[in-house]
Amino acid sequence: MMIRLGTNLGKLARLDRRWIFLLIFLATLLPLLVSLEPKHFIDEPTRNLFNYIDGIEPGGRALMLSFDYDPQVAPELDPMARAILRHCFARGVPVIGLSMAPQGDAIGEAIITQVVREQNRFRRQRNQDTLRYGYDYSFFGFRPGGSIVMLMMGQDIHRALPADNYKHQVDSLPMMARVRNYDDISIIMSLAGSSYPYSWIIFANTKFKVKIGAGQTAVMAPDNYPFLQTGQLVGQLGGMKGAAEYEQLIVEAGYYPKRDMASKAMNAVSFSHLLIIILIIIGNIGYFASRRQGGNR
Amino acid sequence: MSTDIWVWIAALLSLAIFSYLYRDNPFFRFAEHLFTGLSVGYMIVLMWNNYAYQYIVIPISQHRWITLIPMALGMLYLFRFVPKLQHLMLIPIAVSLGLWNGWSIPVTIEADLFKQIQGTMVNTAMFQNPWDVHHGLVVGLLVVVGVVCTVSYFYFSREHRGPLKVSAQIGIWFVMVGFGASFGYTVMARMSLLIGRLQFLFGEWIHLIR
Repeated sequence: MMIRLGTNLGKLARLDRRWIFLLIFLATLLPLLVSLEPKHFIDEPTRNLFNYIDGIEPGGRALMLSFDYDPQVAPELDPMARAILRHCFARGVPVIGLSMAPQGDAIGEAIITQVVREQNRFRRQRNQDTLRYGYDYSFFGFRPGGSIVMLMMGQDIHRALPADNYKHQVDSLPMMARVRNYDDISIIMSLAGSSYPYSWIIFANTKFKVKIGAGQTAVMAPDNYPFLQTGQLVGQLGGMKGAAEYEQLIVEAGYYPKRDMASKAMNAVSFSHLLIIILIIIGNIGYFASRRQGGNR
Repeated sequence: MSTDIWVWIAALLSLAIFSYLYRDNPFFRFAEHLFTGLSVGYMIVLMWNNYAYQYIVIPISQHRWITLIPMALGMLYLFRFVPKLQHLMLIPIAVSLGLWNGWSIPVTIEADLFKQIQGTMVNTAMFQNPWDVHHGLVVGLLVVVGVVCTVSYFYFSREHRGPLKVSAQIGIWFVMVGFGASFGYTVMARMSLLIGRLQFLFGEWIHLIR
């Protein structure tokens, strides 16, 4: 009986991989069609980051949001960027956007524009002042040079960022008059699918003591745990789960009316993981069964 | 369904890329080449706008002639194409190496070595709440044991026998747990990318996901 089961599972191991692609496709799509939004357990790094940003004085020191990623990792990092921007704008924290990755330039601009438009709609409904470019937020686009720019900003941000993404001179932006170097930055949030947060830790935190937070793709997130433990990172959002947790936190705190894309995606993540676990178990049983069969022969 | 032409273009290109999962085909090839060409064009424009214009054109137009020195240094790289003078290319390489080492070695040692050693030590604050899952004594001791055993696994100057063998074997278990965590996160990352595309195709494009 066991041998027959093993033989059948052994055949499964030789299954055309396109059937597995189809199964994964269905296991991912079907949960997306059902709009369930389960509550998440909030990890400590996410909560620490939320609490820190929540403690920044409205209208005080700016948050620097660095879009250090390219489109191929956008599904994980875009929801984080939106959630952080919503949190900052809802609280009146000034935001300086920039990017260390070439294609992060267009991504950053699109997300900031989208969130500002949405926040201004809310503000008009409540008869509040709308967000203004150069006063409440600014965007400097792609900055080539990586670590050189990080070091230069510690001395003089105006020299490191001479003009914004739209070729306005930095001195013409009113909010930048109060920002000379990292002393005037409350936290640098690096959203990345590579080791940019590590560079920020090395060149900005270690040398200039500015606080760093990270939003990382799930692949990169485990690499940062040593820096979370030592306090070199204030907090971290790890992959889609981190984004979903932050979305939940801003909704619970009343900064935004509803949870967004990452929360909706978490069902699909769970189901697809379940399928992969089942496939790994079947694959292993099949492998050992076929090995035993080979031995019996 | 979306009426935005750009959404349609993005959706059809996504499907062209996904078609590779079935087998290689001309639609996939077309999308692949288009992506390569677009990336190069995008980079050229970006480099001009955000680099050459801001760090070369603006300073020179403001008569900051010192900019010419790094610019000339950078141009020495072009001697790569002149066989008789290609040794001149070594000058900017030497300057870059010297600069890089100068500014990165001290901070890297501080951030990567001193801070990490400090983070591995058990401190008095851990005794206040020994069972705390993040900062308690038990977790602190686990970190110390994990670090010592893992480092001992990578100590190859002596044969792994006796206590060193035990320590190295415990170390390899810690390494395996680390790999397992990384694998789990990697699966989540890859699935997230697929989810992002499906949210676009079935949400923005055909409006099935609300």
